[in-house]
Amino acid sequence: MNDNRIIELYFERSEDAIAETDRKYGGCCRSTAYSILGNREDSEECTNDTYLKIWNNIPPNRPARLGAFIMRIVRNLAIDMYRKRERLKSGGGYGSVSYDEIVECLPSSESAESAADRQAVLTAVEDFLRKLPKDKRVMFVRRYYFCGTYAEIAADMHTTEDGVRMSLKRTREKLRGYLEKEGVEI
Amino acid sequence: MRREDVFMDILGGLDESLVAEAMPAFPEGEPGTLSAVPEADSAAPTKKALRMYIIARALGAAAAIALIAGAVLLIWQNWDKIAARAPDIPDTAGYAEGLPDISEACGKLIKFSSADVRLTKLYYDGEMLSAVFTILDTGAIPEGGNYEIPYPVLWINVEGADNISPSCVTEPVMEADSFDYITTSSARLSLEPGRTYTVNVEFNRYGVRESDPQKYSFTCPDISASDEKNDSYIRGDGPANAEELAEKLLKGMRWGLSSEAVQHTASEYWGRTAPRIVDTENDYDVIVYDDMELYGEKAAVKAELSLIVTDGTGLSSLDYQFRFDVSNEGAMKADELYEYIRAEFTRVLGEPDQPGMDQWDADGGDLSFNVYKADNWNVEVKLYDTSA
Repeated sequence: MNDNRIIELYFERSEDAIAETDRKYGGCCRSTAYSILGNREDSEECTNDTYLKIWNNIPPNRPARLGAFIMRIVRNLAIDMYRKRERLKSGGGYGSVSYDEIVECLPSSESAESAADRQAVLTAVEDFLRKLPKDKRVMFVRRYYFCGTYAEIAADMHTTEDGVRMSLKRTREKLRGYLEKEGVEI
Repeated sequence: MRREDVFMDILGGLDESLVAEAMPAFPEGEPGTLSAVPEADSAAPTKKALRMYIIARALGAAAAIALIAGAVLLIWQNWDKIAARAPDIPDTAGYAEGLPDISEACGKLIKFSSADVRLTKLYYDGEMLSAVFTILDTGAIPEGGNYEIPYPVLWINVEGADNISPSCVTEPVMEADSFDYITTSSARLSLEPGRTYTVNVEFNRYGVRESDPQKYSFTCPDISASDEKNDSYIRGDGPANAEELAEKLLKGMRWGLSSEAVQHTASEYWGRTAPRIVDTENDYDVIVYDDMELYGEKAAVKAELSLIVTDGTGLSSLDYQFRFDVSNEGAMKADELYEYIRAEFTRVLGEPDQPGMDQWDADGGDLSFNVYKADNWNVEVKLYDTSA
């Protein structure tokens, strides 16, 4: 079923909306949640919470990209759940994404203190990503948004794990340079 | 909050277009990675799942009753109009004989209640059928429309094709300072090369869905057919194709110094600003970029492409500045040396060929240069030092 039809089902308050959402995006939701949480039951709970949140948001919202809309919800819920569950110590990382890996392009606490600062960093990151070749950009988002493992990304992008690792390393270095150029303190 | 939390939170706000582009693909109905994860001991539903189910059932039942009642009332009130309109509903079966052909789709204008829509491009790459539309807002809101949801969605329906699941990317035309949009709609389809299909366009805006009553024919191109002499991208039909042309071309560039110095292999397209000057002289398109950068694998080489010239038959030449850093070898530092090079494309070959390197002598080192595409394209080039 196409996304527009699924959205219409939400507008009609039909429970088929959830079933169709699960049929189309359930795999992606569970996998994304699992990449972050590393636990089957929590991933299922996170996916259910995601559906409830979608149900409460559509209507009034009518997302232009339903898939991305759902992925944003599932990712952010999984991250919240992970933080509550783990009561993380500094340097913990997320799922398969290690702290060491992202530390080189982390903005300092001072440079991301306020919402406006964070929005500025986000805008810079988005600008940077849009200038990347598509395959590099997809790789970066798959790793740091969806928390995909090197193996998963390599399989999907028809390359090797080492290839993914090296490419991401170069992209992080460039991101760091770009953020510094944009005045973000690293 | 930890620093890594800040980073993850910032990324959480990433634009949906970037997220959509990178979404992992799973066949519908597949459970995803969890299929490879052992089942938990207890398969009992969670409290939240139950709560969601109860809410969904309650809301669903209420909505269904309301919908049925509303529909019955509407039909009863409008029966005369419905009966009168019934004969106008077109037959959707059959193929495209006699319909307007949009295989070369350009500029077809379709009028909907709140916008005029121009179909500017339609293409099939073997998997995806994509259509590019320009939506020109007329300022009207259709009857029953919700003005709070002006975002338009457009897609093409192909009769006789399976698995239509279109995705729509809609971008406002910012400079127009209006509600005009450019939309790209794509659907994963299995189409048969050479076969003619019947298509029509649907539009959804302000919560009102409309279908263009006019149907069109679309003949699926045979994308496997190759042209031995030319390639669509290398032909470059002027400024509109320049970015795509440059990106694909530059990704395939290889160049290197002599064996004593650093060997640079894969280059990487790094972005650009918009063309600074776009000019057409006689039969040539001259496209000038301010800032197109390439970086070598070791960040030791950088080239700035400044000029692309295409003529009616193909890419004619590239001008670029070339800068290399062999500071690791103790010879030169980055930014010290610029060489100006013009590469003239003397012949475009459609068959695989090992790179026959034209040589260009630079400061005692042989700078070699050739251009080819990963899938066995090869271009003979002639290089000139244009520094003087």
